[in-house]
Amino acid sequence: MHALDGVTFDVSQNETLGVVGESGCGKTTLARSVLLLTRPTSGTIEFEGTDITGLQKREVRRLRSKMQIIFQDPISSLDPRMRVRDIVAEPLVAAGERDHAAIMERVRLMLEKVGLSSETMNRFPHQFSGGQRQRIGIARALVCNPEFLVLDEPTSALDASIQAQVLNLLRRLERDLRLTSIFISHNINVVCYMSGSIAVMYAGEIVETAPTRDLLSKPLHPYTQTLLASVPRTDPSQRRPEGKIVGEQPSPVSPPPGCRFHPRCPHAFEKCGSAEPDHVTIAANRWVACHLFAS
Amino acid sequence: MSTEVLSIENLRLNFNTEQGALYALRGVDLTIGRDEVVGLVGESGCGKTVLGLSVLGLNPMPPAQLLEGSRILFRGRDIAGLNQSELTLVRGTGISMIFQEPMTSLNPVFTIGEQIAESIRLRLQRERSEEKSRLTSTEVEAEILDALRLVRIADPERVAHRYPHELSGGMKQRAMIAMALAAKPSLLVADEPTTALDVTIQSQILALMRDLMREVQTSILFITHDLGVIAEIADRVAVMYAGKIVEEASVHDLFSEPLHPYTQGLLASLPRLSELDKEIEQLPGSVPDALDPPKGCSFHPRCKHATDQCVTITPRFVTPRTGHKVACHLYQE
Repeated sequence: MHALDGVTFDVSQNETLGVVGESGCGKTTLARSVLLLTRPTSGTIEFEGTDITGLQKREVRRLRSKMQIIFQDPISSLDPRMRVRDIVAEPLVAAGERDHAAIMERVRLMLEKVGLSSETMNRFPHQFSGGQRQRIGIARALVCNPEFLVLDEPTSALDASIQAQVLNLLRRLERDLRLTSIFISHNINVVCYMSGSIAVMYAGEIVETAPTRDLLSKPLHPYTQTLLASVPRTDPSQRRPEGKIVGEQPSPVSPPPGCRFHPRCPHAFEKCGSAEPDHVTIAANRWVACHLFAS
Repeated sequence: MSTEVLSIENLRLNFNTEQGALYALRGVDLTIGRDEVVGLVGESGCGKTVLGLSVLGLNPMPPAQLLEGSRILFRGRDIAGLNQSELTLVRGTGISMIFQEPMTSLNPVFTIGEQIAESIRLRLQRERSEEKSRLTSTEVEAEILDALRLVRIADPERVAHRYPHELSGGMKQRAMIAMALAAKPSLLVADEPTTALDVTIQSQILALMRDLMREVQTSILFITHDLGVIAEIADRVAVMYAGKIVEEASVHDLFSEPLHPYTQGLLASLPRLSELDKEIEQLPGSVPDALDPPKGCSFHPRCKHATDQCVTITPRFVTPRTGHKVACHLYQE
C-alpha cells in the first residue's frame, strides 16, 4: 500500500508550509515520516542540510528536541495519569536535562506563553477543556526550543470559537520563536490562514504547490480547483450549484493508472490514463503535476 | 397552524447526573414549516443534538427528564411525553433522523435494500389506516430502487444488495438519506450529516439535499456546528448557546446582519479565504458548564458588550427586524 508515493517538497526557514488534502491522501503519514515516527520505505529526509533518514534511535531522540509535533486529539495525546507539569517537562527530561528547578521554571514559562497560569501545573488533563488541553500540548512541543514544528490537524477537534484562539496563539508563537512549520489540515480555510505556501495532496502524492495567495487566486491542478470550489462559503447568496465532481478518492492499495485523479477529472485526456504526470515548474516556488501544463 | 410541521414550545430538559442536574435545554421555542430547512447551529454542549434527539424521543429517560410545560407538537399533536411504543409509530411514519456516523443508523448485518424495505414497511403501517392496499414484493423492490435513485446512486441494483461496510463514506451517507426518505417523512432531523465527510463529498451531499427539497415534501431540521454548511443549505437559522436559542432569522439576514454578540463572534472567528490578511477575532473564554450555567444572560462572561443587567437579568426575545429575533439586552426597547 503506497501511502506516500514519491513526495518531494522543502520548507524554508521561518516559514509555514501548509499541507491540505482529504482523508486518505497521506498527509498524516507525511507528518509522521518527516519526524521519523514512521520510517520511510525509500527516499530521503534532510533536516538543516543533513540526511536524517537513516539515523539510529539514539540520534533520532537527540533530534527530537529540535523537531516537535502537535497532534489533533488533545485528549489522547496527553497521558491522563501525569500531571501537567510532568507532561510539559517530559521532552526536557528525555533530552537529558537534570536540573529539576530549571526544568520547572521552563515549564512555568511555557505554560505562561500559551496563556495558562502556573496553577495548572499540578492538575491532570481531564480537569481541562479541549482548548486548554491543546495549549498544554503546544507548551510541551515548545519546551525544548525546537526549530521545527509539525502540526497535524491541531484545531480540528476544537469548537470554532476556541479554534480561533488557538490559531492566533500558534501564529504568534511561530513568529516570536522564529519557527519553521508544516501545518496539516483537511480544512482549507484554516490551512490558508496559517501558511505562507501550500502543498495539495491527493492519493498519496503532492499534486500542486504554490504560495498561498497564488494558489487561491489561480489554482492550476483540476483537483485543487475542485477542492476550492467545494469549500462552503459563509455567504448564502453564493450557494454552490451541484458540482460536476463525482466519485471519491481512490484507495491507496490500488490507485488508477497514470494520473491518479484522471477518473474524476473534467479535463482528462488520453495521456492522463496511461502516464503519470511529471512536476512542471510554473514559477520560482510553484509547480504542478498535471499533463495540461506539460510543454 | 396547519402549515407548521413541528412546533417546539418551552422545551426544558435536564440530565440528572451524579454531580447534579445538567441543564441541557433551558426553554427552547422553535417552529418548522412545510418545505422548510431550518438550520440549528451552535458549538459543542449548546444542546442542539439533545434537541434533535428530543424530537424523536431518543434521549433515554432517565437520566434525561423533560420538565413541566415542555411541548413538542408534530402536526398539531403533542409528542413530548409519549412512551416508546407510541413514539415508534410516530417515528416510522412522520419523522426520520440521520446522523453524523452512518453506522449509527445502518445495521451492519442487513443489506441496504433490506433496510430501506423496513422504512417502506413502516410507512405502509401508517398508510394502512388511509386504506392503501399493501404493496407486492415487486412493488417494494421498485420503491427501494427509486429511493436509491433519488439520492443519485448510479447503480441502485448493485448497491441494494450490498452491506454497509462495503460502501464508502459518501455512499453510506446517501444510503442513509435514502432510508430516511423512503419512509416519506414530513420531517427529517439531520444531525451533522456531512461533518464526517470529505469536503468534496460534503458538497455533493448538500447539493443533493437541496435538490431533494424540491422533489419531496419533507422539511428538514439541519443540526450542525458548521456555519459554512448552514449557509449552503438552510432557509432559516436558529443559533443556540447554553441550552437556549439566542437568535433566529432567515439565512440571508443572519449572515449579512448578525445581531447577537455570540453570532457575531462566531462568524468573525472563521478564517476566510477572501480575507487572509486580517487576524481572525477570537471570543474569549469557553462554552459554559451545563451543570452551572451563568446567571442572567449565559453569554455575558464572554461578551464585550455586557452590562450590569446582563449579569442578573435573562434577556427575552425581541424582534428588531421582521422575521429576525434575538435574546439580548442590547436590543431591548
